[in-house]
Amino acid sequence: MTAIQVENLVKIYGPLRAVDGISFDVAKGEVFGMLGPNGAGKSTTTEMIEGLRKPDGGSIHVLGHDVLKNVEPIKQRIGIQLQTTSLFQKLTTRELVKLFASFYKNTLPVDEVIGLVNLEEKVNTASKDLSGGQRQRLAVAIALINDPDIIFLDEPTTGLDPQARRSMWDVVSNLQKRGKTVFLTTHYMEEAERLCDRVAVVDHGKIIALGKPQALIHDNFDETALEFSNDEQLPESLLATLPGVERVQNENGITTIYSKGVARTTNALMALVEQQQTELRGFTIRAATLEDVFLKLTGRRIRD
Amino acid sequence: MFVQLYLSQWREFARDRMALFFTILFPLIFISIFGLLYGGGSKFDEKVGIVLEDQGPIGPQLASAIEGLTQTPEGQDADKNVFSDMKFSRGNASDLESQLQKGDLQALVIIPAGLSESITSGQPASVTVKVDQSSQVFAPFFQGVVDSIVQKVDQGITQSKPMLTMQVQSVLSSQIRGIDLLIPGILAMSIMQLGLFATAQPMIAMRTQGVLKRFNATPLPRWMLLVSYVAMRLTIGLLQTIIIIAVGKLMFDVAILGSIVALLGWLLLSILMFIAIGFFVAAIAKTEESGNAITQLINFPMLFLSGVFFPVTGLPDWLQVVVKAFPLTYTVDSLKQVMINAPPINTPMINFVVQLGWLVVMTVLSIRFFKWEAR
Repeated sequence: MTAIQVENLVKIYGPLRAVDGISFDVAKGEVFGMLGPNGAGKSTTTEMIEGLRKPDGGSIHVLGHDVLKNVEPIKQRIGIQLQTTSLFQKLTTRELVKLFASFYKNTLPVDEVIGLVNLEEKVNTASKDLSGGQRQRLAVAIALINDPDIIFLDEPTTGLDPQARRSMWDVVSNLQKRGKTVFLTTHYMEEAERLCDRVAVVDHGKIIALGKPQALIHDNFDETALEFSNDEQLPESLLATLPGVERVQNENGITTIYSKGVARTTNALMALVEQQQTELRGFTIRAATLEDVFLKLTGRRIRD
Repeated sequence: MFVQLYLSQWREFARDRMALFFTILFPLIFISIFGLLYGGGSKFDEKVGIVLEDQGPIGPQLASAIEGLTQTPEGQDADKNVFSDMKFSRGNASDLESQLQKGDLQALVIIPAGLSESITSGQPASVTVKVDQSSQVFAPFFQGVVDSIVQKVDQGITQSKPMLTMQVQSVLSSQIRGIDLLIPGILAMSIMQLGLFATAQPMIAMRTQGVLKRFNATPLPRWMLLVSYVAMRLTIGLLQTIIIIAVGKLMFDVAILGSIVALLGWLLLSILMFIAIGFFVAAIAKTEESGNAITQLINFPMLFLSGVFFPVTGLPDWLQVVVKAFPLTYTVDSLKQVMINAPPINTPMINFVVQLGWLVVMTVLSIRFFKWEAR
């Protein structure tokens, strides 16, 4: 059973095709992620699915309902956390959750959703006095108040410190365990790899890759990445001739060598460094990630 | 749903010290400052004219009895005679009447010609007392005192049926006490600022911060949000009214002369009109900063020119034309009329139609231009 069905979605802002023919399905109980840089069209896509924006083309079905025809029955069954929401500043956590509870027919107990996002200690704190991470979790609590079938999280961890991010990940994992469908956007590849059953990698309004995170990596790479920065910039052409090297990429002063023979490549690289009398800074050997997938497909890093 | 929305907004308002200051305390500070400027002592220092046309024995007897109020009886403390500072003057009817109209006199006692003759021939006669109702403490007091003097003199004439009576006529001078004029003016000001600052700004903030967008993502109907928003402002407006009128009454003895129902009607119209103007500002302003600029642009000229602090009639002609376009002018005028019986600038009909017109036009334009989302 599909929770969300999007076909050939288009949104145009002036000369910009912000969303340019996006299609995908999200199954019930799935955690589905859209991964891409800022301005790739993630939020626009999300808000069109939520019924907050009118698309310029394509069709959207949520839980079997046509969003473009009538969004009202869907609103009762989805929960939304917008990218930025500041709510009434001087209302407390409990007051805000209670307020939103009053908008819905079926709701979970107020204290239960506050517990789901671990905000029990902040029930009587005004929203303006919450930290960034706590405020995001409050936004998620509000998104959960109507016990929704689908939860939309738009960049839930942007701007959060690592600890707050991990805390948010726990919340999402719990939702998954409860069998909820989660649709989230992010520009953190680690987040997508860790949370999502499937990921759509988007750039310039188009899906450039779609699938399970590990499958996406394996489909694109059977190599290992060697990464370093180097002041004199060892020429790419020279690096490409080292044994085992498949590809070399240079981005923001960071050189990434994709190798099928780590030992051979590393030895040759070290010999080269010694010979050129230069230094490598931040030399690491790591497995390929979604970041590498994005880099391979677009020639850019996600966080640019 | 409505109750929760209403309560939420109320909490948001009540926990905002700035909002509380500007809606509640600010008008009171104004009243206090001006009240002290206008205020007087506890003794009556009003001026009273006496027109003595009666040639017979009773008229002069009455006149000197009234003038005798300033004399303190032997053995009593002159400081305790509240009338000791009053000034009496005699003159002919037309001179003194015009002085009363101008506000130079606060009351006028007319003892008509032939009063003594008709009483001696067995015909009842009466003394006329004209009091300026804008001297709200003095007027009823003076009436009562004159009435008791008249009764005393009447009892001296005959023991049987009363022959001499008193008639009272209320007059409104063109110089109502400053504080009397100020209370309706401050009330009008508060209503305007409720519409401008307490309606436009929070609405713009809710839009730019994405609160409206978040509400749109819920099943909450838009009309419900608007109704609770307006209801909340109406409550604040009513609260302001009660406080301002209470302070005017308790501190400066400014009574409400018109009917309370009429006052509530005019208040409702004015509050709704300024809320509509506030919504219009929220509709055309993209950011909180531009909203603030537009609000001040509307607020200041109206505050100083629409008759809140000094009467519109004192302005130069060309400025009066401008002022006629300001909605606050009509609010101030209608409130002054209904609250203190001030001399009208416009007929109630004009005040009603103009304010209703502003309300309708602003509502239509707000609906036309209002954006739910910042972009």
